Amino acid sequence: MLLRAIGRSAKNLVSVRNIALSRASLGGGGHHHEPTPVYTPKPGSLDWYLCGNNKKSAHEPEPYIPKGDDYGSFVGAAVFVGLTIAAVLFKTDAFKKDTHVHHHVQKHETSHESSSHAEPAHEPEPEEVEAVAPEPVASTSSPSSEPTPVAAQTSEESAQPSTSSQSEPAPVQQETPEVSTPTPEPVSQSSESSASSSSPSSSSPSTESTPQKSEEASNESDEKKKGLYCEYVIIGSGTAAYYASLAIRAKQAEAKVLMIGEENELPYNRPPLSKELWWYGDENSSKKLDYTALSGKKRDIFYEVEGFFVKPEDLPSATHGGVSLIRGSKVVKICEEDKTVILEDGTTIGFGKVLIATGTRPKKMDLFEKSSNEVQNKITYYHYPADFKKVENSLADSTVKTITIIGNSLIASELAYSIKRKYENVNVHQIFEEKYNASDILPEHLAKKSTEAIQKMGVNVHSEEKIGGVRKCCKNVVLTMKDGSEHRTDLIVIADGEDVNSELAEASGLKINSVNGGVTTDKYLKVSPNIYAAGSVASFDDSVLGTRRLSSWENAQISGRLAGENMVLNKNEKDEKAFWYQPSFFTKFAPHLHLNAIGQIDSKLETVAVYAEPEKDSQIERAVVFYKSKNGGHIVGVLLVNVFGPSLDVARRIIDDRKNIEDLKELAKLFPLYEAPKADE
Amino acid sequence: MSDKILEIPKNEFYKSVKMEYRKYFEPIPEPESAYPDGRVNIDCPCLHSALAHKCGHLIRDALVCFNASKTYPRGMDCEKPFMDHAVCMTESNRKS
Repeated sequence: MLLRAIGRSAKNLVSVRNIALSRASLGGGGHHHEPTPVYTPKPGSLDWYLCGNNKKSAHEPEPYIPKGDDYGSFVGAAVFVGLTIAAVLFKTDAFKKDTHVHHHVQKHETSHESSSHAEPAHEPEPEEVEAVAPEPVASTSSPSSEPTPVAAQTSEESAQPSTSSQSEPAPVQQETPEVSTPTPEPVSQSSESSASSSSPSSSSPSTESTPQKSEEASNESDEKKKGLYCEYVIIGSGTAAYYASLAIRAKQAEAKVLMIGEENELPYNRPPLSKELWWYGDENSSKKLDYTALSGKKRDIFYEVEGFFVKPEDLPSATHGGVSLIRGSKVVKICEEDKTVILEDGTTIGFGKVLIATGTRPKKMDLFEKSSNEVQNKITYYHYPADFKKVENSLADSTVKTITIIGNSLIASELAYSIKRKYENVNVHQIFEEKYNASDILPEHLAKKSTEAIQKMGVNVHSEEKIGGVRKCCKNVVLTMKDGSEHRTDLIVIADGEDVNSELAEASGLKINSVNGGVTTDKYLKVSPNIYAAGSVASFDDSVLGTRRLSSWENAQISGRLAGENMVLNKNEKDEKAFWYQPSFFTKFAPHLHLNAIGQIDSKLETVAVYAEPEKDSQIERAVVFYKSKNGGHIVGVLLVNVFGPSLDVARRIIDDRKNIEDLKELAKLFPLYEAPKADE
Repeated sequence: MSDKILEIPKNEFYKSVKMEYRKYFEPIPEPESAYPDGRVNIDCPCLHSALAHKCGHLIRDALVCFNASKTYPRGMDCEKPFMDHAVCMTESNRKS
């Protein structure tokens, strides 16, 4: 009922009276009161002081006759006005046409300290702008250069034609004709360079990289962003960063969170790029990155719409805090003593607590990096939405009829399966050096089964193949194998491993784990008192399974939430929470092979697989694979093949228990390997 | 590297599980979205997105009002906070 009332009221937003009505009707049970009449004062009964006195004055207005002193005033006024007009006419370029030429000439003539005069067509450098404050003009300076800055001054500066401020004429002059709107950047800019202010107009197309910002922030409000401080700064704009921002705001209601992401998109969900977008997407998927979920609803990969975020320039003044997002900006260093982060373009942002959630990037292959540009056009490393768009578009318009995927990782295998599933007529090849798909995760018998299943689907799997060379030939690309054979393809997609984006941590002097490449944290995801790390970049201490770094989506969510929570708890000097919830991952790269796994899923470990008899009709096989620890033989990982239900939680309990269990068939009974027996009626 | 393969036939699977392993069936506690008496659990992770939103403070006020409400059905007197939140959401979505 409350919802209906809200709906009704939402329709009548404008009329307050109606809201009152509905409330009465709800609570009063049917009494429809007449609305109280609006009080209208009688005309003339009120004294409207601000609107002037309409009453006629008692006296008749006298005609005005100028006297002696008045004439002096007239003359003075005329002189003043005349001088002003003359000054504007002659000393400024407000009425001049070809101001560009004038400026260039002037610049070369005047010998001023600034060397920037040398470039006429430059772009103003904000640093120079420190000289904005009016300086006494050197008498040797040519008169025309004096007042030109005046015109460029905003209304803030007093427009005194005679004493012009000698700001760097070069940048300012250039701007005057082009930019009619006041350009506060040169004016009010302090030593900070204007970082990510991609001012839409021509003003200060600065030398620094201008990352695009979708917010049409006016230049002036950009200023507020500088010199900046935000209590919680998150480096990264992926899954871990997003969930950390949620956790922070949940734990501290009015928190201000600033996310600084290198990518230009809003925070998005990555797994659909190789799964759902292919399985359930349509021809528009590549534009909006959406798909029709099994429930029938359209879903896209983005976690939130833009309206969720507070604009960065509004963040300091947001009374109830919010999450702010800076896109397309790279953080290069964290200065721990100063508690600042430094962006690529030099901006420094102070923080209270900072979270490193920079994630991973695809590993590049030397062979392809060194190839010609023509070849490189035909190569895509698969990781970002842009990669999905490129592959999907080229498959959709049939420019690609043969596609080759390099690598046997889960992403590569998923892609091969997903592409073949969507585009049956495309020749899909998968090339890798190992023996089977996902051989570093699955025990050999299972890896073999899955490779056979994907081959049965129509994917050409070239296993145990090494690529010797690549060249462009005619319209496609030719891969030369080590054994001499050649493979011709229209597009190459590489998904053969990942590199951790830990350069930031290295530059900041933080410890990197030599085994897994992640930023070393403790079990609270803490790197140091004010620095945390989460997601696939963090190498954390799992009390059950030791130091690990996980690239799964669920780990990003869980560690992001945990790190966010701990940041707030730490700030309030409360006890933090240690990592405890084992993340799982899900993959599917062959029909009827739905894999869920928790813990250490490493094929180098000793495994015990318990298979159920295949189902009579569908021949679907169900199995549980237990991975045993090297020291002690207790179960450290559980892989579920086509097993659903609450099994993941059961697996979590088993792993947390750290028992060495002999009779694993007994343990397998805990998982729904067979359907529950139907009750005999 | 050693991979053992075991098979469990149907009849053996349906035999009851040994007592010592039954503890693994214990479900991991998940926060409830609402308490049995109808109050909303504001700490539920399901609300995190709404609370982190630009308009999050408004929904928090609305839910606090809802929980404190003594009317029946609960929340009848909380129209204004919910309205304020709805207006804020519409405006923010309009701009985006």
